[in-house]
Amino acid sequence: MNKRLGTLLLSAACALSLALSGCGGDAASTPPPVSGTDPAAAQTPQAQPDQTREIAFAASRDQCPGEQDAYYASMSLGVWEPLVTKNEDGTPAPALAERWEHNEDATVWTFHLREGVTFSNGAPFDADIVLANFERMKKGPFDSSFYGLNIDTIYPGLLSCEKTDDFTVVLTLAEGQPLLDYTMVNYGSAMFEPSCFAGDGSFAGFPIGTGPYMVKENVLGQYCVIERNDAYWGTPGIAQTFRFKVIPDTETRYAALRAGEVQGLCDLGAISPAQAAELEGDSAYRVSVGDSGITHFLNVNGGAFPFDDLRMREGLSLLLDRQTIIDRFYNGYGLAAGGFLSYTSAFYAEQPVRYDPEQGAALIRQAVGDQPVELLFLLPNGDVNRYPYQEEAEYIQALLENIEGTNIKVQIRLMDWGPCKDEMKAGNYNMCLKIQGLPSANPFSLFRNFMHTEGSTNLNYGLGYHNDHVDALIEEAAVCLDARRLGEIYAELQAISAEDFPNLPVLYSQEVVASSSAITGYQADVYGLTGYTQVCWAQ
Amino acid sequence: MAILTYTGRRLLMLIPVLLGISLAAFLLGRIAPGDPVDEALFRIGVEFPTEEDRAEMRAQLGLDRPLPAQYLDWVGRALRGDLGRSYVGNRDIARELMTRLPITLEVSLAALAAAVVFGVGGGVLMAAFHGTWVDTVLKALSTLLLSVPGFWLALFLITVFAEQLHLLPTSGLDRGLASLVLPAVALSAANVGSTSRFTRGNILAQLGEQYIVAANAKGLSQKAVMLGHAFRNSLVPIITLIGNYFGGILGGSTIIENIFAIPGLGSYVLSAIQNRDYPVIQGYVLVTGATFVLITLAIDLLYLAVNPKIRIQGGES
Repeated sequence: MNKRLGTLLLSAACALSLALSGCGGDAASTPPPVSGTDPAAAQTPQAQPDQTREIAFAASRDQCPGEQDAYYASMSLGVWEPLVTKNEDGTPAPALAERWEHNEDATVWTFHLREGVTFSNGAPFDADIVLANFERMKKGPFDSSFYGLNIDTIYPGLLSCEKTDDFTVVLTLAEGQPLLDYTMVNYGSAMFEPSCFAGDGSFAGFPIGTGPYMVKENVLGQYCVIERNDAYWGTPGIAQTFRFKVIPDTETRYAALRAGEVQGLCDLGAISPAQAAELEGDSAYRVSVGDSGITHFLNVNGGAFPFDDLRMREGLSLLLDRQTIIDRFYNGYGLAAGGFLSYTSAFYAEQPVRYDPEQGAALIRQAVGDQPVELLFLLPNGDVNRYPYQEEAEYIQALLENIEGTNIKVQIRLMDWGPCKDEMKAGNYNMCLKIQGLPSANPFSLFRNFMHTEGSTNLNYGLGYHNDHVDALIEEAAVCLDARRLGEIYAELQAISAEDFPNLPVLYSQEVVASSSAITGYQADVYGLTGYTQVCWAQ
Repeated sequence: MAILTYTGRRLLMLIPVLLGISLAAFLLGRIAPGDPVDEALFRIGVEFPTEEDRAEMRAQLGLDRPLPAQYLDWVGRALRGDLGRSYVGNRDIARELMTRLPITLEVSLAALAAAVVFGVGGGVLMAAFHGTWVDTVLKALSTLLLSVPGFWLALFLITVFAEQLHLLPTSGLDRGLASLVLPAVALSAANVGSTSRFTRGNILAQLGEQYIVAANAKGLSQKAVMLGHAFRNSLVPIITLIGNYFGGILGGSTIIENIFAIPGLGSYVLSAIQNRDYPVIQGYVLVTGATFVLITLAIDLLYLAVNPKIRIQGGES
């Protein structure tokens, strides 16, 4: 009797499981039969597989945050295009604007637009469209989960935007902006067909752009679907349809890829370094590593003992074996950072990465002697969930506590970012690991806010950094109209940062994405202009 | 008539309870550390705000006004069904919550159903096979379910049933009923464990009562004694327990929704907490609090159906 009951229960559980698994369809795992021809696919060697099948990706956030977002969709989806994009070296490059020039004092910028471009609804792209987009920008600022759209920060002192002919637009600014084209890169100059704007500047329905794909479906918080724009003015995409699912949890995203529910993981933090290392040995998957504008910094309280002493800051920097941190905790995904500015910036000036633990320990001994020193090491919770900060902090803790002849104790404390920032601002901390991205291709705001005595991040992070020469350089940069001189100033600021340590750069992040070998052409390219046009079924 | 009076009185009592919930929701948002102003500025392209930027945004968000004025203004609008717009994304909170509430309720009710079916069913089985290997195995299983954290179980279930066996989806809601299985199991596991043990204990206690001896003496079958007498009389405390679980399930759905990528209230409030999006947090506490209070009322009314004593006394018991 008992044996029969056990068998019955087990059978019922299996039957229920099997029955439920057949309750719904899965477009990705049960593709429709091969049918029809694909004009774009027919021209490419990769096109033999049926490219009308939907390719699914997973990301931690909405790739189409919707009508209230400044851009509706991530740029990488290829729904819209900007006037100005960037080259691999980070310098501005033509997109919908073919070329541009400015007058001597950089107050008047003339943009020559690409001709023959049409929107996905067939409307032509011309100067009137650009004027309408500037009119819309004036109704902002607009909120975005990518980059906020604020005309005052992208086009500071904009006086007018006028057309001189159907394909020429002139921007006039109150003060010279020699690096305006840097701030316009990608999200700074997104162009949409004005009929998709609501009266308040948000979107009234799906966005209409000039890109190779169009939004076909969007369920906020769940997924969005984009479809190839066959009338695209440039090289069209290969795959016909992509679905981008929202899966916030890293482990679940990874499981979805392994289960074949999605063919790729995309966007920031797509996959953890440990998961990527696991997939690298598996021929069923591909891992792609690309550039990232994110730098991991060890921020220190330079306004209080012991980090108010340059020897302590330099000593700790020399003590850090950055390559070991990258290899051990980030599975090799990262680059040792010597300077303040990310290597992806067009203004990056390489700084030596120095590792000399003996000299580092000697400098710290000179700074603190043998007196008892208690250091508070803050870790923001959100970052601990995304990066191996706990392990990294414990490594730094071990380095500091084991310096011979000193008596340093390090206490690690995890906090939410809000209260963590409050503690930093009040100077109630000694060290804090935190990332910093590149808010714009023009790095002026980064230098000003981190390195100027009155810089907002310098104050809010309690860095306590002060250097009269740095202040003078930043004030000169603020009014400088010569792009070459600006480049020199930025290079000098980077050299100073590598010797004076307003904070300690640890590593430059790298974007890691993964895909199933069922698709091809997917590369880590955050916010790149090509987006998904090269991604297609491989089999 | 007495039942109607009882129900009316309970409904009137909801007013101060809901006011208390609204005050708690409002104050929780305000005393939580962190400042929503920086996040709001960041999202409109001001990554390095000055004190002037902050002051301007604070005024724009209405955070520069005295707390009582902010509270009264919020309650007044909430009474008209307007919970304001989120700091992040500028979305209509009431509409967003109403879109997400059915999803969370669907998952929570599935979890509650699992707790009832497997918890009560398991408890009855344990009591029926008291002292046999079935009882021992099910007791061990219920202890295991009680001890395993929900988030761990969720990841374990995903690995086994989605990643390895490909039987169920890892996440989302696009595969109908199949999409609900893993979240419901993960959410209800601990409750299944405790309900089954509680049911078992209650039924065994009832089986020792004199009326059971009398029922047996009358020659009733074992099944009739167990289900018609012992089980029915042990139902009231079990219903109370299950009713109380609902609050836990609603709260627990926050983590589970995040893991299973379910766009319900839980995942919404989790993101709001991370962004210090006060109006969303307030709206969430208000809606889930009100839902919980209404469910509790429904359970209280259910007592009337199952307990004749309460019915006779018009709910005075």
